Amino acid sequence: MTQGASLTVTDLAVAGDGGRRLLVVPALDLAPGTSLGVFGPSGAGKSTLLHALAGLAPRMTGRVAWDGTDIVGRSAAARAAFRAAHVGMIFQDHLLFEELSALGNAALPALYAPRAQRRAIRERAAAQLARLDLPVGTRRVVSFSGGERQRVAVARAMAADAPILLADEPTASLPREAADALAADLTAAARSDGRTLVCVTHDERLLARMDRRLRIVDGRVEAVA
Amino acid sequence: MRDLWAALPSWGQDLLWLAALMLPVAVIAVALLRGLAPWPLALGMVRRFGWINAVFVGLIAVSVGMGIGLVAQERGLREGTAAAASKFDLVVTAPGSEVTMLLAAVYLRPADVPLIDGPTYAEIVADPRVRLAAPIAFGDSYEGDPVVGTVADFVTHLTDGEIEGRLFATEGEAVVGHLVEVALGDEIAPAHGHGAAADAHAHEGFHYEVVGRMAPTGSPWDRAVLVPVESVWGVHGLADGHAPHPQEAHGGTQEEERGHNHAEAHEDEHGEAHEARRDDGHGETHDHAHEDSHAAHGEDHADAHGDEHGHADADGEAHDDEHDHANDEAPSRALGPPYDPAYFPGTPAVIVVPHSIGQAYALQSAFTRDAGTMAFLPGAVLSQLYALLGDVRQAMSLMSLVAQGLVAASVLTGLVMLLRLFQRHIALLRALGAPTRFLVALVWSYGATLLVLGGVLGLGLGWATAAVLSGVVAARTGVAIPVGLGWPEVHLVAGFVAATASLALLPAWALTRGTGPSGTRP
Repeated sequence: MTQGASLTVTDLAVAGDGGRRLLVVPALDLAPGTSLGVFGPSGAGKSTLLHALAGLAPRMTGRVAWDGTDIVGRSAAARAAFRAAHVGMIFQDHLLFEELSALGNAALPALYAPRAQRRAIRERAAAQLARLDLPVGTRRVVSFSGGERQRVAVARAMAADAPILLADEPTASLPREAADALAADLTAAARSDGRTLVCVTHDERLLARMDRRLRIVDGRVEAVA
Repeated sequence: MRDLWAALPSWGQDLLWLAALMLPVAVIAVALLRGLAPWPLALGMVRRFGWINAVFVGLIAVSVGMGIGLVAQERGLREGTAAAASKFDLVVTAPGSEVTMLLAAVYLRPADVPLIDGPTYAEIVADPRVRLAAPIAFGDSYEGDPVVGTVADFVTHLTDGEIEGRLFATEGEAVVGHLVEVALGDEIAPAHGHGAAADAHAHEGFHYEVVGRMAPTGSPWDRAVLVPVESVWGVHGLADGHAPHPQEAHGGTQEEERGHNHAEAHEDEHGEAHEARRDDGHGETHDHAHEDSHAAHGEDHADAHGDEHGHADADGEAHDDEHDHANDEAPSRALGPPYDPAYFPGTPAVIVVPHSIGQAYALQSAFTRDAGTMAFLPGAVLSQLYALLGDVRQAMSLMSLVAQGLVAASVLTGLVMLLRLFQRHIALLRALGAPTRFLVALVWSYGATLLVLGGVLGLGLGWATAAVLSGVVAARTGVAIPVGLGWPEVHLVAGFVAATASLALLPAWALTRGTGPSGTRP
């Protein structure tokens, strides 16, 4: 079983173009296997926080440590290697490769993983697709519905066996019923394997499934529950 | 090392050249792709943007194919013309231009040429080094195809004996080239002259029966109608090369006195060989109305010619003596060598086949005389022509190389634009943690796939272009141009693909470097 990673954020500051400050997080701690829902008005800095936690923000200072490993100040290549090994990302608009099948997308990390790990990644991808009730055929995802696509994205995030799941508005583009199903799938997948889940969302029902919630307004953390 | 290289067979050297040309691509591929598997994504992109990729590949293929086609065609043209002349070991003509005579005698392109007389021909035949000395006579045509008078042995030599039907045995019989559109047993009527100027009525009433068809020779002779040289001489009112039979000498018919009374040498506008013009046997006195170079033998009168073939009798009875028809003559008349020098009307060229190729050089030397004859090896003349054209070819090759360079630059520019399709992919893969080498490998393998596809298709297109051009040239000249892709074309394409694929590394690297994961932000 995957062991979730702990998170320690200290004095995190993320700047945008021209040095404009986008986000300030003085302190945030998460225990391994915890799920955190991040909410707040649009443009408040929720996605910026998620990208900072993944090491994707180009200009950030402070400390973001996963299991004690600080990713701030590391090179882009080192952060990419960290993401490949520890982070599963789920994006708001799925961001799948439309020319590939569901399995091709879910097993995408196998394309650049060490040869010894490829088979395991593919097997996990197939298992995740089956668990999420998705076809493991050659049909390309371009013909999938929005809900199906988002579940493929979840399967991709899980297939790398990453201890950290970062999801950005995973239910935003889905109808209610599909959104509820995906919320259930996502939280169940995280909990069943003990992953640490950080989920940016406006969806109250998804937030209700999270262990903790964090509100961000105007680039500042207002409340942690 | 040099000895080792020289010891390799030519295909081995070509193979090594190919490997050397593709080495940069192999090195890049190994360095980039080692331990990675970008192909599902790269091929997925090829499929996904099928039309754009197809257009891009098509443009590369057309650019490469045109260059390849021209290179292949140029080589094919050299090989085809050389092969067409391969049966012509040595050609003996009157002094003049070797190229003109080569075109006339080997490639059957009509020309106004001087003639070789009977004694000279007899001297050639008498040379012990000569296995075959075939006179040729031309000037007539059938449906646009040249009618060539010669001897049966030359037809056998030309085809290595592969003839459907049989050789001609009488003056009224013909053997046709492989591409002449007549059937065995058909009767064909020759026209005087060639092309638009051909006069279909000049030999009216005269016809040949087609008794044989030559196997393909890959030369203009495939479009020729080969007939006994005596019939060509005869239909133009000349002596037939043989002394008249004793009975004929006193018979009183126009055939009986054929070539007996006189012979004259003249040239017509078709370069025909008519040294001894046939007397019509009526004993008339004729006024020459054309320029003659005379080799008269026992003349008791002279012909009068309204044109080069027609003549008017002194008694006012005008007629065309070319309308004397071999068909009407007795089939028992002599055909083929030996010819009597006194009754030999002349020939523009004698095709000489020596007993050995070494003797061809000796014969060339023997029959190269300032005033009398000129002898040349068609292969050597062609070599000189190729060498002369070689400078032009080198200039063309340089221009082609520059053009290919411009095409490569255009291809790379197009590739830079096409690679923008990858920006979203790059951003996503970066966000997912894919290493930079994988991103470069993905973009490069996509570009290389298109370039290789374009190159291979270009090779095929080049072959098709060469085939079409060969067909056109063959239809117009009868020279069979071999269609095939050789190592030079393969090397050209390999060089193009290697250069562009190597340079494609730059836009691939620039794209991955310039594209961050921000593309994943909504």
